[in-house]
Amino acid sequence: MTETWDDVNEQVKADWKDDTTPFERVYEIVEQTHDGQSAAEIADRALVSEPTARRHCKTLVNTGFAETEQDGQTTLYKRNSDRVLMSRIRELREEVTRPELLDSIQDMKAEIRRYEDRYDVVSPEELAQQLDADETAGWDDLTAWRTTRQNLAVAQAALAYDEASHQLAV
Amino acid sequence: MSDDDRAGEFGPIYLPALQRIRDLWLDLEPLVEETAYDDVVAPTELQISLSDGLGDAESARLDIQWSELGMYSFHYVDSDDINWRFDRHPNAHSPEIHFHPPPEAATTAAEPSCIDVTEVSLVTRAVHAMWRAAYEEDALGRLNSASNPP
Repeated sequence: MTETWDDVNEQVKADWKDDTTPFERVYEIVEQTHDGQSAAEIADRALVSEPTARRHCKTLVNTGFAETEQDGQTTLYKRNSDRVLMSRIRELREEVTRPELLDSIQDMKAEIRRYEDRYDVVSPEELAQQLDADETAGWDDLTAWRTTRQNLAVAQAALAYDEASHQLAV
Repeated sequence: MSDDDRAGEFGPIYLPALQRIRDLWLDLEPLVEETAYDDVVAPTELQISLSDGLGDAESARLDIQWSELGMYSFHYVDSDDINWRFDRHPNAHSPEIHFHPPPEAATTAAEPSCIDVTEVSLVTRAVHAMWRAAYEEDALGRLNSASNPP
């Protein structure tokens, strides 16, 4: 049966609230927060009250999922990037063999060399400075370069983690 | 992705967002056949395969990107080569949040999107609601329509 609604934006907010607990919504918002935000801002995005957001944020800090920074008197919350990294490393170690990881690392290095050659720059940051906001050429490559640089670093970390884990087990 | 209409920072792909989008589609959509990254080690997008498509199409796929900056692209393409796309990214042709209508989702044919929520769960639910309304009523015109009256 098709759902009916007056405004899809209001409808999905209502659905989200119906399907989740306040804690689950705060958890998701913190997970998607890369620059620190106050409990008030997080409350607004998670559709919860400010005291609720603050209480859940503190819990997430205690479990290591969130981290804080201070802005004067205000505590700002964001996701703990180490946790994101560790869960990604675990995923790679479970799903990918060592030869696959090594192959992929070579491919990603080659891809990055192609960007360096194509644009004659050494980093995505340098490329970003050269790109024109009115033109489309290059912006997709910039995103791909940034993404591949992260994927490469994570794959290399997974490899190193694997070796360390193997050494300790011997 | 064949978007090539971006002009400005999209940001690197954020995998925890793609995981949320995948889990939500699995929850909400019975036609999901398979979900996967385009590459296991070096993912740049999430691909969701559907066992049916709009109109006479027998299957469809959504290619989805979500970045650390909250930019996104939900690109539908089916076995009849119908394309449409809900996007958020800086560009030279239209508002940051916009819709490329079917059948071609051409870069030049962007229009303002009916979606104005920005959180990953909310955008995903909205795109899913649009797809469902168009699928069940067999009407491509439903795709970018904020209201769906009884």
